[in-house]
Amino acid sequence: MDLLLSPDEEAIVASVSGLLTGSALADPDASWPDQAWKELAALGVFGLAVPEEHGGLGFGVAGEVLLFREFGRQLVRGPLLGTTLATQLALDSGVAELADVLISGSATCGYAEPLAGSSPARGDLVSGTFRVWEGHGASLLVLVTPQWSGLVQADRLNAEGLRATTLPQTDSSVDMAQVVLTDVPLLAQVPGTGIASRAALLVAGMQTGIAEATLAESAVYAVTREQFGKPIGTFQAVKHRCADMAVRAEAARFQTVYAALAWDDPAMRTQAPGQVAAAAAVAADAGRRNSADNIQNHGAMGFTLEASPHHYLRRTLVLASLLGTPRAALEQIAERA
Amino acid sequence: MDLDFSADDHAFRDEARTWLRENVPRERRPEGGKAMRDFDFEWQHRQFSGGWAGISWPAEYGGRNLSLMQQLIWYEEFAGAGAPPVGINFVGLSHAGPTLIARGSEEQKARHLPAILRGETIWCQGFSEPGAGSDLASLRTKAVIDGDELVVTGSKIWTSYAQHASVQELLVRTDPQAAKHRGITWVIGDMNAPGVQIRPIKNLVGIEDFCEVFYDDVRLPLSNVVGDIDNGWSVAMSTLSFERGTAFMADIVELSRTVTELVALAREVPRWDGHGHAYDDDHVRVELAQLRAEVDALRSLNYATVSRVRREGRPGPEASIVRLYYGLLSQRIYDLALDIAGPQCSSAAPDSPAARWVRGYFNAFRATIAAGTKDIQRSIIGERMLGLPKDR
Repeated sequence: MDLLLSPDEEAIVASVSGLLTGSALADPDASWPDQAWKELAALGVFGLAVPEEHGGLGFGVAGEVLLFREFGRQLVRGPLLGTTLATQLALDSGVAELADVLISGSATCGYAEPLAGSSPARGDLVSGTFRVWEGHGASLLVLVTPQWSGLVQADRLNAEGLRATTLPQTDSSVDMAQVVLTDVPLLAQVPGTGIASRAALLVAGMQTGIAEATLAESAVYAVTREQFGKPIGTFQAVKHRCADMAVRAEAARFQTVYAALAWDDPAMRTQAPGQVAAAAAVAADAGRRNSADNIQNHGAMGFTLEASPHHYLRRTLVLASLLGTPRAALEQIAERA
Repeated sequence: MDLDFSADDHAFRDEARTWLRENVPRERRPEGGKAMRDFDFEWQHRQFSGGWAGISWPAEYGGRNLSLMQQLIWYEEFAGAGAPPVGINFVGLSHAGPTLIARGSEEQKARHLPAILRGETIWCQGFSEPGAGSDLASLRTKAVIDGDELVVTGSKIWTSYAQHASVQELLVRTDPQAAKHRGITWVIGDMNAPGVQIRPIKNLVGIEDFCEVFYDDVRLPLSNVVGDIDNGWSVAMSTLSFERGTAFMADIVELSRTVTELVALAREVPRWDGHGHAYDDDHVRVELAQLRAEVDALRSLNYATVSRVRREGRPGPEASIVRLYYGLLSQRIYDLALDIAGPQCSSAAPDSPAARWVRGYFNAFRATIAAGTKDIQRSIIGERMLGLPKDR
C-alpha cells in the first residue's frame, strides 16, 4: 500500500506538466492550439489508463487521475474529459479502431450529459437535450448518463439531428453548449454507471489540481506581499487560512488517489463507487473553497480580472456543475449508508 | 501508487483477526478508579501473553517488531474488533518505552521495558505546566543537583492517570540561565517518592483522568536521567520520531463506526418537528453523507502518512494535517449528533442512548487541544509545510 507516486508515475506527470507549462492549452486567452493537442496525444495521454495490449500505457485510472490533477492545476482547456471517457467507452463496447483514433489524437470527443430534468430516449437511436462541455470542433460526443453512456458522431453539428446552441460562459476559456439530438444513431453504448463514475473521478482529479494550485498561489503571495512591515503570511489569520487550504488540498488529493486505486482493484469492486463519490464530494469542496480563499488572500487584487485567482474560481464552478453537482455524490453516499 | 498487501500481510491479518475475536474483553471498560486500572492491566497482560504487546518495539526489547504495513493492519483489526484502548498503558507503550529504547541506558531499559510490555507499571507524562502549555519549552519546574540526586520543585498539569501511575517521564529545568530549549532535563520520576502530591482534576466529561502534580523537594537518583543533563529537549523531541500514523488508524476506524452509529440513530429518533425520523430531514441526511465522505478522506490521508514514513522514515509536517482533520471532523460529527438526538440531550440519564452522544460531544473538545491545539497544528502546517514565516 503506497499512495505516493512511483518513479514511472512521477516521470509521466513531469513530461505532461512540462509540455503544458507555457502552452496555449493552458492559456485562457489563446486560440485553440491544434498542434499542442497533437503533442499531448503523442505522450500517450489519451491511452494512459488503457492496457498496453490495447495500445495504451497501462497506468490505470490512478494514473489518469494524476494527469487530470495536472490539467486542473494548469487550467488546461479542450476536450480532455470527453476524449478520455470516449476511449474507454470504445474499448468497453468493442470498437477498438475508434479507441485507436482517439488515442492517437486525430479525433476528439466532447463531453455531454442530459440537461437537468431531461431523460433522453435511447434505442439504436438517441434523442434528448444535452449540456456539452468542450464539444466545439469535436468529431464525437460522449453522452454520459447515470444509467448508460454512448457515443455519437458530432462533426456535422446543426445537421442530421444535432442542433447546437452555444451558452454564455462563466469561464470564458471553456466552451459550454446545449445540444438537442433527434434520432441520432449511437456508434457505441454501454449500460451502467461505469463511465459516469469514471467521469466523477477525473473531475475530482481536476478539482484537486485547482485546490493545490490555489494553495500554492496563496502561499507564494503570503510570503511576498508585505503589510505592517511583514509578509502577510506571518499573521496567523492568513497563515491559518493557508493551512486550512493545505488540509483541503491534501484530503482531496489522497481520497481521489485512493478511490482511483480502488477503482483499478478488482478486489474492491463493491467499495469503489462509494470511494469515488467521497472523492467527488471532498474534491469539489476543496476546489471551490480554496479558490475562494485564494481570492481573499489576494485582497483587492483577487477581486480583479487582472490577477489569476478568478480563473480558478470560474473553472471550479464549471466543474462543480457537471454530473449533477456534488450534491449528487452526497446522495449516492446517503443511499449506500 | 498501489493498494497491494503481500500474501504474508493477508495471512497476518487473518491471524490478528482470529486472536482478537477470541480475546477482546466482552465487558465494557470501566471509566475510572481501581476497576478501570484492573481492567487495563488485565487487557494489557492478555495482549502480552498472546505476543501482541509492543508490536512496533524491536525484538531485543521483547517487542514484535512488525513491519509498518502489519502495524497498520493490527490497528485496523484492533479497532474493527471493538478492542478497548490501551488506556492507562498508553504513555508507557507509546511514549516512555520508545523514548527509553532510543535514548535510555541499558540499565534503564532492562529495568523498565519488560514491565511496560507486561502491563505491570503505569507511566504518566510530566511535561505541561500551568504556565507552559503550547509553549512547552518555557517550563519552570526546577531540579538542582545535590550529590548523586536531583531535587525537584514545582508543578505539572494535565498529567493523565497520575493517580494510577508509579513512574513518570518528567521534564525539569536544570539550567535556568540557558536559552529556553536548553537547560531542560528528561528524568524518570517516581510517583511514590516523598514530596509528590497529586490532585485529580475533573475534565469536561466529568471524569478524573488527568491531574495536577506538585513536587516539593522530591529527590530522584541522577541515574534516572535519560540522555544527558540539560539535553532533555532533544530526548523529548525524539519521541516525536516514533510517530508512524499506524496507531492513529484505530482512532479513524472508531470514528468511522461512530458515523455508522449516528446514521442508525438518525433512522430511529424523530425528526426535529416530531414527524418521521431525523434521517428524513434533508439537512441531516446530506450532512451525514458529507461526514462519511470526510471520514473516508481522513483514512486516505492517514494511509498517505504511513506511505511517507515508509519512504522517508518519518511522517513530515503533513502529519499535522491528519491530526487537525481528525479533530475538526470528530467535533462536527458529535455536533450533528446533538442536533439529531434532539431535546433529550439536555436531560439525558447517564445510561440513556442520548448520554453517549452528549459525552462524546464534550469529549471531542479534547481532539483539538491535547498534544498541540488546532492553532498550533495550523502554524506547523503553515510554517513547515508551506514555508510561511514564523509568528513567534
